[in-house]
Amino acid sequence: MTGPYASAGWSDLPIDLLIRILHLLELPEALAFHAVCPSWRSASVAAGGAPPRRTPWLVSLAEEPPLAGDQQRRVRRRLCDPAATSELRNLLDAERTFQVSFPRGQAVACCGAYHGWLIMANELSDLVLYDPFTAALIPLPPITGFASCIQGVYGDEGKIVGYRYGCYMIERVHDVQSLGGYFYDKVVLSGPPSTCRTVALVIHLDGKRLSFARIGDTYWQQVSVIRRNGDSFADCIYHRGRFYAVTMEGILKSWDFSGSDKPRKKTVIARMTMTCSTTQL
Amino acid sequence: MATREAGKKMIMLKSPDGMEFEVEEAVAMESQTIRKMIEDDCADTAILIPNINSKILSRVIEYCNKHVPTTGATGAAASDTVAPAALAEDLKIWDAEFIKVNRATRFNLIQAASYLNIKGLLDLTSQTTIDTISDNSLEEIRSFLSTKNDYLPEEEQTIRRENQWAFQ
Repeated sequence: MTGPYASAGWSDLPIDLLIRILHLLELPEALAFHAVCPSWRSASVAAGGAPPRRTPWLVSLAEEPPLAGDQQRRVRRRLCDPAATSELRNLLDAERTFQVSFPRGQAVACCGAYHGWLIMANELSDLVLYDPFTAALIPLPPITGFASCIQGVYGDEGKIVGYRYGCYMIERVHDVQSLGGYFYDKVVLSGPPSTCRTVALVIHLDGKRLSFARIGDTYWQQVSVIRRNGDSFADCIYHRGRFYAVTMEGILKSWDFSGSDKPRKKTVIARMTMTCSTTQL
Repeated sequence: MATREAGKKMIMLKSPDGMEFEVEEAVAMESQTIRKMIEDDCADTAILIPNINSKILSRVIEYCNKHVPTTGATGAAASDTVAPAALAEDLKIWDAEFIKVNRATRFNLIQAASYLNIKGLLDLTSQTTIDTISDNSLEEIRSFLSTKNDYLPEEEQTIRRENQWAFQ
């Protein structure tokens, strides 16, 4: 620190300059930027957190070191194990891995991803959005918010102990943690969860139902049900303002959530495709 | 190309420490801030540039002189015979040399580029800051930039938890 123009001022650069620099950074340098000092941190917050991801990242469970004295046996942990760590790697530099621990109890099953956000079922089988880069956590409505098919079972102290859930007409009580592992088939987001207009669409109940909620809602609303035996929702995507869901039999429908609360439905392909019919002949 | 017109319009720039710089209008107009002043007729005799001392202002003018489109820029007459690609390459090398300054100067340059709104200089100074951030660990960035790590120990712990990436 010498002279009148000593570099102490790097903390005091104008916020628009800091944001300009931040937008030129790749992750995880942008995250280091976030941690340098309070003023850089506030610039990072003002810029909306981490910059948009430019290249895809892969997430996997980290490999555990072999047990002492036994090179053959390796510990295999599940995602829900508190001791499990995950590894993220950027496709630009796949050799370099980053060890990330998910917040305790929040990662039991992974149900989808959207632009850096992981969509996970937590230890209560509720869906949460988690950004592994910034550790931001946003809850979606709880599993009991699927009122048409799930009921909470409460213990003596009013604590939730299980979920009553019926599939294929057989209703039984499932334990709190494990249901999330198979109840959700796929979750898709319409955009970043920073806005409350963002819609999460879920295929659930063995592909039989489609429900949605907006960020900040307290319950899920049913969009569509397949009652016919033999068919179920196979996949769902979001593209240019509409969600598209295709069934195993090839029926394609779309929903537009941009208007009022009720989504507008459009059937793109109403019946089985010709190829399906031909194979049946 | 570089026909020097007689009576080219000159602009006087004044730094807060009392130095005056006479520059061609085209050179001064590399700065969008000054361009706007000139276009709005707010610059009749001299323009006072607040917050930028003469040392930094002279470097900024040096940069603008080099980057002003070829016609009329002093010292740019030699570029007549050089192909545009070679000229761009030459400018790049010149920029790299130009930015080889100490941290304090670079810091003042980035502020000046921001205030005077000189896109090229802003890009150049931002990029060198990014190179610093990219190649160093968080602790190195902190010490290199001499940023005040104002976090309390418990805040530092929170930051470390929230930004586990930055500390790997």
